[in-house]
Order: sequence, then structure tokens, then C-alpha cells
Amino acid sequence: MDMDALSALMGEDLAAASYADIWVSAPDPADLPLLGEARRLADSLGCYVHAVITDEAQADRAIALGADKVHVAGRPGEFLMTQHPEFCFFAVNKLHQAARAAQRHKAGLISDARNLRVDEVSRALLGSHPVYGGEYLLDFALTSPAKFATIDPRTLPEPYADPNRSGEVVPNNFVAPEPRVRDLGPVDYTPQAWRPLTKAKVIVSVGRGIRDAEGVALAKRLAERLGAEFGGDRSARDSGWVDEEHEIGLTGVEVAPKVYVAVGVRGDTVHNAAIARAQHIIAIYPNPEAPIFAVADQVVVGEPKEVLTKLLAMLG
Amino acid sequence: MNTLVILRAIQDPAGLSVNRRAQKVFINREQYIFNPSDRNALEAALRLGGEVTVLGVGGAPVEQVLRDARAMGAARAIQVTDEALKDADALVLTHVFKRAIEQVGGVVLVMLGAEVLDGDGAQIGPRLAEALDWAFVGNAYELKVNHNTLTAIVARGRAFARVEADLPAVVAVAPDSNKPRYAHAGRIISIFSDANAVEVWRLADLDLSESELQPVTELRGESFPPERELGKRLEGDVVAQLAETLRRI
Ligand SMILES: Cc1cc2nc3c(=O)[nH]c(=O)nc-3n(C[C@H](O)[C@H](O)[C@H](O)COP(=O)(O)OP(=O)(O)OC[C@H]3O[C@@H](n4cnc5c(N)ncnc54)[C@H](O)[C@@H]3O)c2cc1C
Ligand SMILES: Nc1ncnc2c1ncn2[C@@H]1O[C@H](COP(=O)(O)O)[C@@H](O)[C@H]1O
Repeated sequence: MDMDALSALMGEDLAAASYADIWVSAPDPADLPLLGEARRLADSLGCYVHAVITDEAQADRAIALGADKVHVAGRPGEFLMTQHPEFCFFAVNKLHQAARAAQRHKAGLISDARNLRVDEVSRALLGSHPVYGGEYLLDFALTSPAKFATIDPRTLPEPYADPNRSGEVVPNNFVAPEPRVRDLGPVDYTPQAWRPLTKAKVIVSVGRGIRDAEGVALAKRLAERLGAEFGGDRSARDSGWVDEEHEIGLTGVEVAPKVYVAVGVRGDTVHNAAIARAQHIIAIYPNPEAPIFAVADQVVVGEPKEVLTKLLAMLG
Repeated sequence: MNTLVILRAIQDPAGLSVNRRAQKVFINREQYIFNPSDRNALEAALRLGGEVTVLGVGGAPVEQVLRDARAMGAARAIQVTDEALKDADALVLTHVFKRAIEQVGGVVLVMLGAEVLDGDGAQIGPRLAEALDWAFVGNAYELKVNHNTLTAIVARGRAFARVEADLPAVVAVAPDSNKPRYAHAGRIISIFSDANAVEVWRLADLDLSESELQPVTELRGESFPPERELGKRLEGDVVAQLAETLRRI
């Protein structure tokens, strides 16, 4: 078939098809909690929830979390281009697949969507998208026949898994197209303008209140456990615990993480100004008068090494 | 090689303040800047060599950004502006960019920023690749073009990988991939005093259908996270409470 005939057919298909149900792309097990959100909306709309997964072994869990129908496909984003989802959710780290599929369906997409609802009369998808690092949110309504959203599973409540729920695996004969971008494997690389701290979503930082190298080692273990970057204030640099690139302050680096954990950081003015754009600050310091506490969301008055030791044990 | 870079003007966050209690965003200073990672995209395009065209949709703010880009070294700048684009959403913008790219002709590489200022990724790149039926490479760091093949180092979480794609392609460039150059002072003066430095295209020049110009995203308003309560001292089992917060990240 030539391209024109094919696209004519596809155009017709798009117009004629009726878009139905809520579809969730879940190539990673970490994406499966999105099914809880889909289930919540489907129960009020009275429609089915479809899960698109890559590994059939996840089917039972997908059903327990809310899927009525499970589709196994090598590339869920591509598979969803061949289906007609009325509502379609991807995990926030799969924005590229979601946006491609949305464009194919001439659909709107709310990225990193919060507070999703459906207007039951117009069937519009309503949701909010955080801007400027979460300072505020823009509220959108999507009115296309298909409506897409990407969702961060961490913003959802713990999903409820019901092992007695029933659902079915729907067979398909979808053959995923070859990816156009070929993967040549991992490389060891440091970008020219690499500033890991300015980009970090989570930072653990230390100051002189951490006391000694043993304390610093504990803080580094916490950073590793959280997948966080490690930094320190001016006093940490003076103590030789961090270098210039990892000094947080107006003379060093300004940061804007989602979570900032300050351990043994007293919080002088230049340090606190440099973390003003952090969204959530945890501070652990022995002296209740420390200025860091005035800018922190969660304050722990205590000996940093003791708190870290217990915390690491609890996090496992 | 003909490369086209899509640029966007955004309100400078330094001119904004957000009052969560009053549920209002105040624009203290209306001032537009280059979306930061778009500047990296332009830098990467200039380093690859060849002729670089810059393209933006919008009014006076985007014109400023396009002039800046000419001063940095772009050979040609196109501003698509039309009253009818006032409510354009990502779907409509994609259609406009696609037609403009086709109209420019001979473009084999489109580059744009991998992030808008809020940092959680951007949809125009993958949408445009889909509309053009081209390859899409996201989060790109180092780029090389050899004959018809593009290779790039891309970020995969905290690690890096090398990928390869045949041209034509759309590439989204990461914000910390390079250090953008400053414009040459003499060039700034000549570009900013040249009335023709930026070509202005109207929708009528683009031959788009009514349905392609129909937005499907309505901005209904703003909402605000709860006001932060600072200095709150944890009581009781503080370690368990910290662990609970940290497990959620
Ligand atoms: C950080 C951030 C993230 C956002 N993310 C999203 C998102 O994910 N999805 C989404 O749908 N929206 C998103 N928006 C909302 C939307 O992009 C903007 O609110 C809206 O486009 C206004 O942009 P602007 O003020 O920068 O104006 P501009 O960039 O100048 O213009 C916005 C649009 O209006 C048109 N326009 C403006 N002036 C003129 C003119 N004189 N002549 C002709 N056309 C004109 C153009 O189409 C232009 O693209 C986001 C906004 C921000 C600030
Ligand atoms: N109105 C616009 N004008 C020019 N470029 C834009 C516009 N909107 C988006 N872009 C480009 O697309 C990228 C992603 O934007 P978005 O998908 O809207 O988050 C931006 O960094 C720009 O390069």
C-alpha cells in the first residue's frame, strides 16, 4: 500500500473510531501504581481500565491493582497508537512516548498531572501541571477525543491491591516497529557544563555540626541510599569534606531540589539564600536556635550522627 | 547541513512572586528570557556548523529572543505571529512548527531545549518528531553528524548512553550539555538596529487547515500548593517520620 492510501485510511480510522476507556502504559513495575488512579476514575465513569505491559508476569499484579484488561506489547507507546484510548496515562519519566502517542491521536497532554478529574458531561480531562519548580500549578482542561496525562507515581496514594479482582489478558498480534533510535550502550561521560547539584532532585548536605569524618560517611551513605547528590556548606568546605563544586551557598552553588536534607548545617544567611528554591527542607541540628530551622519544613533537634544511624537502619 | 532551532520566550522567574495564601501570582517585572535549555540547543547547533535558522511562535518577547539568537550566530530568524495563535496549545504549535519547517525547506535536523524552565520535560520535541515522521533523540549531550547519521550521548537517569539515528531527526538538548557563547557586541548592535533581522510570517503564509489550528487544551486557571509551614519541630518518633518522608521521594 502506498503512503497516501495508508494515511487516508488512518485519517478515516481516526475520525470513525470511538475512543473509550482508560488505558495505562506500564512498561516498568514502578509504573503499575498508575492503575490505582485509573481505577478511581473508571469507577466513577463506569468504564474499563486497560493495562499495557511488556512482561506477562506482571499481569496478575496489574489486575490486582485495578486493570480489567491486560495487553502485553513490546513497546506500549507504539501499541497505544494502534488503540483508541479515551484517557491514556503514562509515568512521568515516559513523557517522550506519551507525547508521540498523543500527537498521533491529535490529543492534548497534561504533563506531571496532579488532581485529575473528568467532567462527566463534557468528558473533558481536568488536571493541574506544576510550573516553576512547583511554585504553583496551571489548571488545564483537555477536550480532544483522546486525552493524555503523565503522572508521577510518587504523587499518588499507596495503591490498593485486591488479589481477588478479576481481569483478563487480551491477546494481540501487535508487532512493535524497530526503534528509529539505535542504542549503542552505556558510556562513561561527564558533560562539559556538568553541575550535578544544580540539577539534583534530592540533596543531602553537611556542615560542621556533623562533627567528624565518621558523621560525613554516614551522611554520604544516606545520599547513596536516596539516590541523592552530596554537598556541604562553607564550613564543610573549610573542613575539607566537599570541594568548590559541592559547596552550597551564594559563593558556591545555588540549588533547587525537591527535597533538601541538611545534616549538621547551622544555616547561615548565604547558605539559606542558596537553598531558597528547594521545595521541602529537612534539617537535623543539635542546637534548637540554629537559623537553618527557620527555613525548614521538618525540624529535628538532635545529634546528627545518632539520628543518621537510626534513620539508615530504618530505611534498610 | 540545514539545522533549525526552535526558541521560546518565557517570563523571567526573577520577575515573579507567588503568594500561596492570597492564591495569586504577581508579575513584578514583565521581562522575557530565552528558555534556558533552548540556548543550549542553539549553541549545540552552532557548533555542528552549517546554516542555522531559528524559529519561534509569538509576539514581541519571542522577537527579542530571535534577535539574540541572530547575534549569537544564527543565519536566519523566522517569527510566526498571528492573532489567531493566541490560544495555541502544544498540538497546534506542533502543526505550526511542522508547516514552517517544511516551508523553510531542506532542514534535516531540528533542535530544541529538553526542558522548559519548570524542569519536568517538554512535549513539543517528541510531538514534532511524530508529526514529521522523523526520529526523536531526547536529553542529548554530545552530538555528531557523519553523512546521514547522527550520534548522541544521552542521559538515562544518572548514567549516560550513546545512541544513533538516521537523519532527519528532532533532537532535544539538555540544559547542562554545553556553555552557550555570548553574542559579539558589534553583532548585537547591527542585529538590533536591522529591521529585517527577523522575518515575520503570518498564518496565511503557512496553509494550515482549520482543524490543525483547533486547540484541545484550555487553560482554566491556576492553583497553589498549601502554604509551607516552616520551622515545624517533629515530635515523637522523629526518625520514623523522616523515614516516611524520604521513602516517598
Ligand atoms: C513553565 C511553564 C510550563 C508550561 N507548560 C505547559 C504545558 O505543559 N502544556 C500547556 O499546554 N501549556 C503549558 N504552559 C502554558 C502556556 O505555554 C503558556 O501559559 C502560554 O503559552 C503563554 O506563554 P507566554 O506568556 O510565554 O507567551 P508567548 O510565548 O509569547 O506566547 C504564547 C503563545 O501565544 C501566541 N501568541 C502570543 N503573542 C502573540 C502575538 N502577538 N501574535 C501571535 N501569536 C501570539 C503564540 O502562539 C505563542 O506560542 C506552561 C507555561 C509555563 C510558564
Ligand atoms: N510558543 C513557543 N514558541 C517557540 N518555541 C516553543 C513554544 N512552545 C514550545 N516551544 C519549544 O518547545 C520546547 C518544549 O516546550 P513545551 O513542549 O511547550 O514544554 C521549548 O523549549 C521550545 O524550544
